[in-house]
Amino acid sequence: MTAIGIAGVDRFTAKAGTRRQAHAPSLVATPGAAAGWLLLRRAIRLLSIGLYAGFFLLPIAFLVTLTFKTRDEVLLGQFLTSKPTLENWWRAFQFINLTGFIGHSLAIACVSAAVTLIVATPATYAVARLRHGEFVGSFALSSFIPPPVVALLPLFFLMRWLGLLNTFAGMIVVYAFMNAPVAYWLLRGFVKKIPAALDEAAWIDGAGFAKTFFVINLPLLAPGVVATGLICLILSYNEFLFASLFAQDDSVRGLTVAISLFQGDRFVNFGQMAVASIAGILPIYLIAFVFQNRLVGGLVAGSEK
Amino acid sequence: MVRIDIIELSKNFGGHRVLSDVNLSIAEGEFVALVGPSGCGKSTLLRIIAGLEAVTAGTVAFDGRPMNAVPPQARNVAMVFQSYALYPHMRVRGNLAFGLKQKGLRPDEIARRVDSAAKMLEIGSLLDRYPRELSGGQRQRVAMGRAMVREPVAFLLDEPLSNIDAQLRVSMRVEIRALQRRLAATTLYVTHDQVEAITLADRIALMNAGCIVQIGSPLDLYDRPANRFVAGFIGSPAMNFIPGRRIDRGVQAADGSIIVLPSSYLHADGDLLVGLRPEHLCLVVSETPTTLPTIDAVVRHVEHLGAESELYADGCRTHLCIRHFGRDVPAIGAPIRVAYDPTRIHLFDKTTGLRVAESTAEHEASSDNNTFAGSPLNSKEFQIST
Repeated sequence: MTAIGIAGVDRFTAKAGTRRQAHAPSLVATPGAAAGWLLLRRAIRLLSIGLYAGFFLLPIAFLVTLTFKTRDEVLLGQFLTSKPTLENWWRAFQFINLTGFIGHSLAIACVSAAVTLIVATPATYAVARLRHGEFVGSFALSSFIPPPVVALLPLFFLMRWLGLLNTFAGMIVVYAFMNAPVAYWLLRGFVKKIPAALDEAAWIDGAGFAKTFFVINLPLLAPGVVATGLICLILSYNEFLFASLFAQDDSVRGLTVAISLFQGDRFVNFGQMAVASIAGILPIYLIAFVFQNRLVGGLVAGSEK
Repeated sequence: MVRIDIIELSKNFGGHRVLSDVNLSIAEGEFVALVGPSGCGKSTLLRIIAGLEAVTAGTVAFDGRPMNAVPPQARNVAMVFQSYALYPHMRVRGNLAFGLKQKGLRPDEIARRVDSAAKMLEIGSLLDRYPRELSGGQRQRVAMGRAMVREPVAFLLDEPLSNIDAQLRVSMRVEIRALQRRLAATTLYVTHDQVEAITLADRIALMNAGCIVQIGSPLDLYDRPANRFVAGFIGSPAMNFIPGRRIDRGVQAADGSIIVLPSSYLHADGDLLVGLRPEHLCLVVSETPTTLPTIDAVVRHVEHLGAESELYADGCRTHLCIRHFGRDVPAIGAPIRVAYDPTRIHLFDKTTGLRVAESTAEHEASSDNNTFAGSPLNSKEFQIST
């Protein structure tokens, strides 16, 4: 332990370098001690990763176990089930049109994310690169300061006046412009990362502002656009407040509102609710898994010396 | 190609004046270098000519036509950026062809020009590569090619060699000049390296603090610098400056030693700066008497550069640099005598920094009787005693 302890101190003071010289090398050099220290470090690293992952995965694991429990077992509050059952799975899909609701959520989320990107990407380029209307960023961020419920009633009356209540178009419009400020702030960093000299080279080559944006910047922004679109999709998919008010029947309702329907007058059907939740999570996990590589930028490499 | 005229140009960034009343004319087909220390405004001037920066006051004209309101897309100039600015998502062929597509040229004409430029720059084998797969020198060639293919009215180069290694820089310098001569292109070349400017340019415009301090051929600036700043900037190593006061036939330095002036400077008066280039000072170590005036100094530092050495010495209460041809130099701390030819002296007013005008008749006479003839290696006076 002495060898390990001194090696540990040596590592922690490596950057300061003030106490390294005080250590006698022979105290650290035994192969057995070094191997033991490596093993301990690996164990500590794995434990840290396990705790971190567990913090995020434990609720999902609990949700999964809920789906296999009977109503009585749910009320007992145990983690694991002694009498697993598949009843919740087929009852959940029988009770409500779960696949339809998931489809509604996905459709609204995907289209609204696309509209957000169409609006926010050129706007972010204009503000961040061409430096027109730099106040837009702060103005957009200020819309997030009050709680969303503040906008609920005004939006409700506006949507009713426009005839967009309880329609796909209405939900898409609300989510698309609700997420535009988020998209601006996410894309701003990606736009600023692209060297301004590329734009200037394109201008000197004769390209106008629009062509420079579409031909030069947009391909380089692709990783950022994908990442931003994914985040806006998730935000729209998970949204409950506006969905509960503006989607008033099953023809437009999405998953978040559908899950709340499992709450009855006298009890909450946790098992089936958990099934609906798991079924709803899966599409988003799959999308993120497919696009995770696209999130890593690399196209700008080679443009500069 | 065009003639470029800059007339009374000024540029402010916020409240800060970056360019002040700049006047410069670049003839058609001329190669002009804009030189100066960092922050002097040379890149800003280049960007204004390119149309990337707006003008605060003054005019930029191409062949007499004002260009202030013309956007960069319509000026038909080509620029090579310090960072090359190659489009990373396009192959080399795409980079070269991009400007031609904006002009609306036919695909066969685009292909012809791209292949011609690639052949001239020897980058034909690189056309299908991406910029990230190229070396620094290759990227620099592609940037030059992208400028060339458009057959612009002028080339604007913004420190294109600044990040290339020293050896490659010399060969690329030769290539750039050869290319410019072949194309007879009006070229404006921005650099902070005075060696690049002297070796490449037909004329140099030396800038400082937003103003052009002197314009002339490289040898004009070397032989007759207009002021202390030009004298210290042009030439490597930099000129030695010895402050002193005018007395009798010379200038008395702070340690009491007398720097002998040529007859063309005898009319000068007051507090002065004597300028002597390191290559015009000679080390005298032998006991052989010399006919040239000398300065006493003590060696502080020696740098061996192979065929020659640079001695740094303290003399006349200032630091001196002497370029010595050969490797046999005295030790650090040794007392030395440094000979100089008075006709090689540059004299400046100490207060204003301006060059003291020489008396014309005496200057021509003293030039004819130049006693500092030939290489020091040929003179017995400069043999170091063994």
